[in-house]
Amino acid sequence: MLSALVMVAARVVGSPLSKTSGELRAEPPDLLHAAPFPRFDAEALRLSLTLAFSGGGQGGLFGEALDRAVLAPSSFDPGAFASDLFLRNFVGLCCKVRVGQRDYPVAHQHLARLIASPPSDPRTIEFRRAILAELATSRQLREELEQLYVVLYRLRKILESGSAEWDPNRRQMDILAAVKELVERMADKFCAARSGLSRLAEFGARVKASEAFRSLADLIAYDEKLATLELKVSVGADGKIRAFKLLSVAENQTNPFVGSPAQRWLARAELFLRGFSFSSGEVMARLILAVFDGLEPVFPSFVGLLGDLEFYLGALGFKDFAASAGLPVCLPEFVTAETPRVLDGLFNPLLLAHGIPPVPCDLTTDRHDTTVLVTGPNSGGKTRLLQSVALAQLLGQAGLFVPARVAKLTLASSLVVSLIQETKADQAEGRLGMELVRIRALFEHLPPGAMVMLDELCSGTNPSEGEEIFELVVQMLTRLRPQAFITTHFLAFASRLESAGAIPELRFLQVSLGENHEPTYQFKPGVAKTSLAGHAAARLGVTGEQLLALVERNTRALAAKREV
Amino acid sequence: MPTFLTTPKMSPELAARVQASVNGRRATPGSRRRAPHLIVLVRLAVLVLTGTLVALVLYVRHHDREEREHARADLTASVDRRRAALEPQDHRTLGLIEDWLVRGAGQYEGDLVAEALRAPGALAALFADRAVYVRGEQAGFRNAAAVADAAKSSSKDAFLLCLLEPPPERAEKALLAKARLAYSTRGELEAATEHVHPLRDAVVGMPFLSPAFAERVRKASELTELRRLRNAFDKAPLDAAIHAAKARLLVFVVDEPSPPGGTVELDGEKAHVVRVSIVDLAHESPLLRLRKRVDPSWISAGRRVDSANALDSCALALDVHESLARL
Repeated sequence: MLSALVMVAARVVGSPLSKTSGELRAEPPDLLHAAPFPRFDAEALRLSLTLAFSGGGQGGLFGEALDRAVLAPSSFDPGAFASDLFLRNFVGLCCKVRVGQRDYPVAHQHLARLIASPPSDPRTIEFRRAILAELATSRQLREELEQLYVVLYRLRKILESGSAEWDPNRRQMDILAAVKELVERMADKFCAARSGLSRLAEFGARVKASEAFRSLADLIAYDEKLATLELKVSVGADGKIRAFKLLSVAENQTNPFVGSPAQRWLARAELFLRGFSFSSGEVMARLILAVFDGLEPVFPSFVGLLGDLEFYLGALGFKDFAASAGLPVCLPEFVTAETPRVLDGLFNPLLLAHGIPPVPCDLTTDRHDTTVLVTGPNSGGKTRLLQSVALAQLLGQAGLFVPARVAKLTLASSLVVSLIQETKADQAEGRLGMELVRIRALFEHLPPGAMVMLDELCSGTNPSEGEEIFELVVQMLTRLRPQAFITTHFLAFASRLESAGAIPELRFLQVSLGENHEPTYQFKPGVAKTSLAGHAAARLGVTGEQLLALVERNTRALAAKREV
Repeated sequence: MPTFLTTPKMSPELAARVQASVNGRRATPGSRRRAPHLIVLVRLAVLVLTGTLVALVLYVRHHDREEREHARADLTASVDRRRAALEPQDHRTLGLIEDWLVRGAGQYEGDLVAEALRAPGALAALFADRAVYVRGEQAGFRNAAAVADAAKSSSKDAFLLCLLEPPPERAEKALLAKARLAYSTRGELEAATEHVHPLRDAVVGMPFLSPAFAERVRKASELTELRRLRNAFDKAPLDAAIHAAKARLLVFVVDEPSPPGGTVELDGEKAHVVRVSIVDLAHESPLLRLRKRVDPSWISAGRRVDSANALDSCALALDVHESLARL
């Protein structure tokens, strides 16, 4: 258990060990980026992994390394939308990794960071989409990837568990056996992959062809089969063994780790003189360390690979989750901003995650770079629509499935979502003041071509004055040619803007109502005529009669109390 | 330094890594770590020290064994050499003497003077051969074990001297002269009785020439025990014992218990009956058996104080001579 700690220390101070390791060169199989780049602090990660291998108690190593991983350059600022889109909830509830009947714990933070930082490089988006598309169409590749993940997860578990209650050599052999299985799976099972998954095969083949891997295979063979004994067993009439006869003993002489019995004893004596313990386990520990030292350069690859696999398996998990509710998802088609936006069968995955069956809707606009004013009754699905569109844009640009049956999107330069305004104990301004601060901040950082989601803009002041600010914001916003969706209850104002047509980039959507004026959670062009506040009030028990009944009940209760 | 953990079948890279792996050392996390060289040196020192100690112990044991066997062989050779001086019948002498002593102290069988002793000078001629002498209380000869104890406290005395060289007359002055010679330190007694050996010599020395002693030497497991045996063997009166074992004559005096009352002199002498016997050991036949009464009352008061026993003993010897002449 302890040997590697020493080797680590030796390596840190530049002992000969690091110079004799015959460094295995194999670039990590980056499945997330078209152009791979270093995502981890290689030296720190190697040190941590070496300590973990030695049993130094590196719990949470993989998770912490993934959380600190460098992400691809992104123009998105997660702080501008992650909380309003409940991204962690979405990842935790929708992007589960399930293999067989078992759910595997995913590094949620890393996955949320990946989704919240869509790559700026379109090639990377396409790279990811190609992998997902191949996995979605090839059941065999998906199963192989899942099995690869299972082995990788096992490797992670062993590495992150200490060896206090475990035979250190056995634990390290288990780690090495997992590495061998991983490399062999990568080399053998992904040869037919056409997407970026082929990098697994390339990486596996490179490692498999290395001297370090051959040493690993030899060591495992040595551990499993030092020699073969041929026995003849005599069994009595009662079924019990009566006698053994040793017919032959054949040592695995071709294995480079197999030495003569005398050499094995001399090795133990030598180790004792060198300051180690006098045991066969100590000899094995030295050999394990020597093999690990050769493979050490590939260990960091497994950390990144775990995160990459969780990214794709999580996406497939989302697809399965939606499909189980009868909701298909798709990889969006990316089009230019001037072409129509299409989101057919769009649903809000957050509703699905919380057990509320979402009602899919079809959303179409004539082009992307427009500002859409959404009107409709309260609880008509306006805010959920904004969440769904934003999530679709975010997931699509991250290279993942979007919550829609068909989707045509254009790439946005950024995303700002402002749906929930919570009152904070230390806020310096009132509701309008905070809204104005929000608008100011929006304009300070918003690049052209961004997607903007604003819920009930300027609702914190009297309508006539709010409408002026509203119009000002919309006019200024259109100069940045955003993909904006703004909900409002200023219906008269919205109607006036629609009829005036003074702002060409403005589009209008309203909630479709049923025969009884109930919301259908579908949207159609135009401006709603009413917010149906009365309906909402009645549904929530705020009519005159209902409130009067409550007042009378409370009065009677108080009078009865006084009589007593 | 090359390592035994590598094999010729290993690739050079693997062999180098194995070599590097043994150049490190283990440590327990959190424990204080010592320099690898210190551990190696300490272990080497412990090994060398242990090896040296083991070699030393083995050498000492070997040396002790050799010394012990040498001592055993030396002692065995000495015993064998001494035993070689003994004839087979000599080994029986002591047992024979004990039998005669026990018999002589038992029921008195009556006075006896063999025909061979009746001739003048026969007694003196008899003592030209080797003889053993012992005198003791009657109780001291009741069995073989008691005989050994009694023998150890018995030596040549005035009776023996006066028996071999009787004084010219029974006068107190003449007896006293003989008695003084008997207790003189100038060797007159030994010169006059050189063929007579006290039984004590045989009792003390013969066990060292017995098969039991040889067996004890053979079985001794410690050098110290062998040294102790050697020391005892060297101090034992072996020459005298061998002479005693070759004795052909046994002379013994049995002092019967004195009757109650009566005067006891300062040297313990008082009136009592004494048995005097001479036995031909070669033929296992009695030559003389007499029973006499001694009484110091005849001695002058001045001499009785310090020489009553010697004078009585010498007078007893004269009694024996007179009895021989008379019978």
